[in-house]
Amino acid sequence: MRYHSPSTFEDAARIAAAAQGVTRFLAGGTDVLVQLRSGHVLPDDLIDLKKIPGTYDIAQTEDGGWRIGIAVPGAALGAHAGLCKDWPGVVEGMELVGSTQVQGRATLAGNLCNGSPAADSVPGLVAAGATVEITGPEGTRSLPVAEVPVGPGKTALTAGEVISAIVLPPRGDKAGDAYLRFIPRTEMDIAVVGAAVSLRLDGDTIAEARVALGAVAPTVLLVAEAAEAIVGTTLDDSAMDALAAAASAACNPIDDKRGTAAFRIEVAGVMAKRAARIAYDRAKGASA
Amino acid sequence: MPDTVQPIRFGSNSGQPVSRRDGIAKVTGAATFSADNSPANLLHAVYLPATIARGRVTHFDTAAAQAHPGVTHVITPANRPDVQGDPEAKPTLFSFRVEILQDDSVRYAGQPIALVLGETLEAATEGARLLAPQYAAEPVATDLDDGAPFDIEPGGFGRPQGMVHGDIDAGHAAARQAIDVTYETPAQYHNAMETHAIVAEWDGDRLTLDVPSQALNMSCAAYAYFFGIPAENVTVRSPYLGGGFGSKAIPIGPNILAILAARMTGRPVKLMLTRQQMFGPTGHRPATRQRLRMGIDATGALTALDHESLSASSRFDDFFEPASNASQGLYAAGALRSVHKGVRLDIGTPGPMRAPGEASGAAALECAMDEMAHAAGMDPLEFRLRNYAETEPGTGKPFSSKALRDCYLQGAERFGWDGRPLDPGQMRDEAGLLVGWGMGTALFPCPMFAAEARATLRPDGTALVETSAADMGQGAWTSLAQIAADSLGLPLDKVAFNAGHSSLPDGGVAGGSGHTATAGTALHEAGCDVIRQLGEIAATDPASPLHGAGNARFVARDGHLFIEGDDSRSEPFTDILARAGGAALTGSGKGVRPPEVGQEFAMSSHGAVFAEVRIDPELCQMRVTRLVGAFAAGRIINPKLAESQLMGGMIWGTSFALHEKVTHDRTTGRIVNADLAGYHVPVNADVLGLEVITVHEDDLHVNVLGVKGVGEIGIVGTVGAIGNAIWHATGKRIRRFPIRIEDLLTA
Repeated sequence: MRYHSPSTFEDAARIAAAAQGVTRFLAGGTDVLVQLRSGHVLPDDLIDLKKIPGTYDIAQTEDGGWRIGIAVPGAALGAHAGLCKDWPGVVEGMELVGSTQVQGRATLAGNLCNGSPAADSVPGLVAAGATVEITGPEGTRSLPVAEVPVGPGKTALTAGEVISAIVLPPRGDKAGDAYLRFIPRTEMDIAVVGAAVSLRLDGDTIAEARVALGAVAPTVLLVAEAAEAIVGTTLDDSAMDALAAAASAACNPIDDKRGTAAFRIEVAGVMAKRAARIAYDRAKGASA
Repeated sequence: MPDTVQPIRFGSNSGQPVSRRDGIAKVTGAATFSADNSPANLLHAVYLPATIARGRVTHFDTAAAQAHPGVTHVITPANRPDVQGDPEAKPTLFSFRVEILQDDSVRYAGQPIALVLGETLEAATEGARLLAPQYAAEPVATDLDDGAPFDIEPGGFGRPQGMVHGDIDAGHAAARQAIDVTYETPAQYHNAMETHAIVAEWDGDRLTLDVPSQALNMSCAAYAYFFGIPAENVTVRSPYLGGGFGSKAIPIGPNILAILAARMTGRPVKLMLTRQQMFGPTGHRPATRQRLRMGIDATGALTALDHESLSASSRFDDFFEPASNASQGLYAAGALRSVHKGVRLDIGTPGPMRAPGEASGAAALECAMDEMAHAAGMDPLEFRLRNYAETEPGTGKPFSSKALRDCYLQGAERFGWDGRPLDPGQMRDEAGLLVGWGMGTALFPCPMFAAEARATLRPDGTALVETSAADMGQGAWTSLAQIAADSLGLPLDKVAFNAGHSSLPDGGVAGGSGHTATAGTALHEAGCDVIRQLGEIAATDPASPLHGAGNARFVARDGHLFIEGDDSRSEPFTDILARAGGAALTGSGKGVRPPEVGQEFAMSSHGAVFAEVRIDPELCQMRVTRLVGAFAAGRIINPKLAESQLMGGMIWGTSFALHEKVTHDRTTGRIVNADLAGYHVPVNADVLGLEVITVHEDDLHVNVLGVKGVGEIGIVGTVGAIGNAIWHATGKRIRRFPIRIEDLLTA
């Protein structure tokens, strides 16, 4: 195994593009190092991105959004007042990843690139309409987070491409987001269902909404029907029922040891409703 | 032999909630566990576990493994050196057949199939991976339904005896109301925090082992058997255990392979199991299916209690979970029957796991009792009191002591059981969660294994007490020292305790919840022996104020010897010893229960556990919000440690009820959740309210100390209490453990 620690993303991309065998990028390492130690992945080239300047930074963009470096750990997201105020749902999703120790290392980019359908930080990013900046041999491009995962353990990144930043759009007024996950145990578990909702109000009425579900399909789902069910409503009971029905209808889960498919489908509706309620309250000014 | 023993005086040490004496050593890392030992010239051993459950290994790439830098030896069935013992034999009371590369067959997933030695752990690990075994796999059976049930031939350890008392058919016929219900419990693995580990070093034909052991001297005999040497040539050092729960009482194949490797290479060898390997050749609690048929008369009295359990075992050895034994000895039924059946599967041999039999048996029994109570329209506690056994059911033997009624009443009062609605689904909290209350009775026998101990009173007035058995983490180093200090009449800080080394007097087995009772009795007798000798010296020494005390009894207190009943005459230990020449005094003692006491009395610890659950009605997410357990276990030597142990048992019960279960891949037979990410136990956040009451109980028969035991009973009533609380919250009766969310959603 060859270990590389480039100082620019362009160099990282060049090394990756030239690599012939199994390549892994290293950010927090909370997935890659575990996979390596357990023998599940034996990379020929391991490219450490943490030495690249700026990868630990959280910066406001010119339009009022946020640019988050790929080595920013969950604990730093949670400690960032501006980000927590704008995107509490995104932050709380990332903060559910692993233990306190893992929080000191694990990153949004890593959670996304690991490609787990149950990744806790991804539904919040998808609901937020976040994008990633990708650096590759052909230069940089931007891609919605929703389009990054293409299957369990698989992403839309091509050979030599590396995520160089996560970008959140400007939040604006009267808006809120929330992420909830369901696990059988109280802590330290992998999501059986995750639901994120981001919405904006006009008065008391929902003007825009995005609903994303995790762990109920091969990739995180952006469920347009679920969003449509609550847009134009004040989240009354019938809107909530329609939201739950749309969320459940979108699910295509598997049975596994954590939960059956039927159970996930049912719970997805409930979690979507509860996340919508929290996002709605936050949009009305409730603190996260 | 009198049928009662004089209760000993409660000393100033026993009964005190002393913090564990090894606590600082453990939290600072100064305590050395087996795998912390790294003698010079050490080789590391890693075994390769089978990834099929049945078949043969057809090929290893031994050349690749051997060629890896740092790999020194590759041992497979083709080149394994001979051992002197038969792997199929069972050299001691607690032994199972072992897999030590005796042939190329695979009998369960996780079985060791090769051993690689290396200069580093990493080299050995990589060497094992490079072996890349190929198999001829055969179809596997890993589910209770995959095999044909048969009657178990009773015969000692692992082959439980059924029993019948009264006319069970008449009991069923006399029932005015009856239930016939079947419960299932899953396979569970011990998973002590400290995984199994061994460091083996030979010196000629003498063998030194650093290995966690619940039964040091018995382990010496077992290891000696396989290497054709006398048991006294084996030294086992086991000062600390990071939990054993039954699995470290029994020598396992990987340990024998490590010893063999050390003999073969002439170098010390260390082998430590990975967490994944803890789901292999280390024993487990087998899956059970239990049918309970009960009947009651018009007054709610049980006319029949009929409990049949089916337990899995391996294809090549016998350990059947004695689950239906849980129905022996608890309720006063008109007729009682317990039946044991077995089924053979392609799994490793099960073994005793904390509260073997009682944990799984009571899970089913206590839920069935709840079902019967509901059918009778009775409160579950009232129903149990209605069937309270004043003497041992079936045999009519008196109990040595039984404060179970106090456990019920004190537990119920603390919990606030009064006013519980009889029907389910009646309670909700302010957040709209369903609330349910359930209860279960706990019973666990209080056996004594034989133990020996030595006490030495030094001329400076301090003492050393010794017995071989290890501290399993429960606090034996502390509570046993408290007993010894009382017997010697010394404050605890004057008594050093040496244990965990097989050269010391045989401390017996730290198991069966009998360690404090057994080793404690031995230590007590050793202390009394010293004091008796000291009294003889003083009584015959004209310079002693105690001279001429003749047949009077002596009492030792605070480093002084007194004549019983006469506090005016006393002398410090140090003065007596100084005049006698300044030598230390050594006494010995044995802890063993006279058989006639066991024949005369039924002896058990008892308890009652009350549980509250809250359940989200939309998600069916279950949380155990309160657990109250009241236990009567004879004299409590150290309330702090005893209550901690009972709490640990109750948390284990929560784990049994809601979390723990291995799942086998039906095609390969592999365990698919063989790590702590997939094999769930409760996290701290799952334990919300937990309270233990130790109920006062004097027992004049169990042993001179009046000590029963608290090691396992905490699990026993808890599983049923939680299952019953879930029913009470939801009206849904789930008869398969662990109870899962989807069970409630679909029931």
